[in-house]
Amino acid sequence: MAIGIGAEFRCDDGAGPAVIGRLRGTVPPGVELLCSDGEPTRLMEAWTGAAAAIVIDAVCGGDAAPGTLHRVVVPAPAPGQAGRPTPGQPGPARAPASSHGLGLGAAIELSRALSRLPALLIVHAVQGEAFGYGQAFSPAVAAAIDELTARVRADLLRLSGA
Amino acid sequence: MTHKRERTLVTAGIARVEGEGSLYLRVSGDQVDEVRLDIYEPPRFFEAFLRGRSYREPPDITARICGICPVAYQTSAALAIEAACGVRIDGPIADLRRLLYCGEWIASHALHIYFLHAPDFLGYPGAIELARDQRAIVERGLKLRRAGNAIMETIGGRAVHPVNFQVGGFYSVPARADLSGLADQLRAALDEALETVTWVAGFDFPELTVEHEMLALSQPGSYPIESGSVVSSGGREFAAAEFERNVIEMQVPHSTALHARLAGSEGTYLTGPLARYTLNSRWLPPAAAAAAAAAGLGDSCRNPFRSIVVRAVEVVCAIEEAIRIIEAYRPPSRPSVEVAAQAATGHGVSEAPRGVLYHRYELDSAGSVVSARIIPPTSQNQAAIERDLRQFVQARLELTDEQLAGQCEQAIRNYDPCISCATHFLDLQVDRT
Repeated sequence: MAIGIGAEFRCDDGAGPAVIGRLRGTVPPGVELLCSDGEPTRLMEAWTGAAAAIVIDAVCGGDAAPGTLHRVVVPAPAPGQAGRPTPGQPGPARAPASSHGLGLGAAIELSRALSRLPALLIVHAVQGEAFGYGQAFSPAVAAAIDELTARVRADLLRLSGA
Repeated sequence: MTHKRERTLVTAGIARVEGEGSLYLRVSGDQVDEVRLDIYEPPRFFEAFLRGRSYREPPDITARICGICPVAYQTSAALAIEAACGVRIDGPIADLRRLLYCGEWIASHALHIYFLHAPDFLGYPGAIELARDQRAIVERGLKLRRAGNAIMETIGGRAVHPVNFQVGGFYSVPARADLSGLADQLRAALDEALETVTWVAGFDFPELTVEHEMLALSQPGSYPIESGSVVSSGGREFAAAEFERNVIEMQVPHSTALHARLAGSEGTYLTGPLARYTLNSRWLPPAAAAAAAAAGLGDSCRNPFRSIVVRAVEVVCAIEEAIRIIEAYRPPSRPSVEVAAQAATGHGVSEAPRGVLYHRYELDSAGSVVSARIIPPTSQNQAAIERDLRQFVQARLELTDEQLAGQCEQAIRNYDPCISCATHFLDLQVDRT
């Protein structure tokens, strides 16, 4: 399954749903394609029971240039470590303040705590720079969407054995 | 602490509330001088950009104000527009609206009880840490939230910003058979909800009794959710059309959300679960009434820390109501009634999970919105929250700044504030001088 996270009316934040739209009709039958606003409990419910899931999101912060593509593999906890954070893996870097700031990291940590993390979770992300109101991507993200879609499609095809 | 007798406490970014805000406290000696709930989310100008839109659009546009209570916005908007057009919805369409609203109450309250509020009482920094230690409890909260979302998806088309709601009713309505699976899920969820009341009733609650005038809707014969007239513990009773004559909004320098007071009163008032329960506990359905009694709530509740128990009782209420509506449901002959535009002004009120939500629309003869007014519950509650914090802090000045900041954040979460709705808020700063 693949889940595009973001808001289509907040410029680069819409990259995840845009990739899902481009994937429709181009991936094998049985591959579930979803869009999510990233609310942690709904995100967790969406991937609960999936053997593998790919998440597509736009990110900000760090030193990467806008349009840079990231790929992070989130492993399932080792036997006996269910429910504990995995050092060095995505999760909330600090306690977020508003519940509106809870996102993918919280969903991953909550899923780990509840043993609902897929055996394989791959996060594909594009470095965004414009998160204001509107539906237009920044030039850097617009130029990266096709390559991001191709990378997600390649992972989906490999995971589905096609 | 900056000085033995002078303290300033600032909490920058209050956690586990809906939206962005901060708290500033200034203490001189033994007296709390100033309490400010600073709301700095930018204004969202919804009322302004509703002007010129079709009278059919406000339910969908205003639903976007909030991802937690979109049905509240849809309902108050539709009630106001229908009132302007001289239409009153009743029968199975009104029942389906109440059912949809029950879904929102269940999902919203379950989120707040389990993920935002309970960690405070159990000594956890958040729900993730609670889940690591008490997995079964968090799974129970998720099941309840799922039951609420299932109602929203079945009746509203999706769990967030439902797409099946319109002025006059719905775009499509379910057949009886479509609701049988939902009824089974809700019967199972009722047990989870009753266990939740027992669980939260066992928490330790700090002593705090608030004296605000309580304001809520009243629907004699049933617990108020999707409609009603407005009543208060001070003896007020008025219809939605009288709302702006009774509730006076005002600007304050430290908040992008308007404050509110009741006309003719210098005191504060409170809306939300405590007010709803205090004014309507006699109308709870049987299982919710029994759960409230077993939890020791009595006829009224004026301790905001116990609001978690009231919310749990309201989850039971909403599930009972949802089951009752489904069991009695007979589909309407049409999913909506015709609502023809006319030049008029209409007013609508409903009980959002956080309290009374008021909408007013002035329409022209073509059905365009000439003006709009939206008064959300968190906006109305700001002054009461500040007054309660002053009382709460005054009794706890011996605490360190860190302890005080933590307890103030918890106290604010009692109100489940939705700052994004109100600014449409939290940092804490305390000055001790």
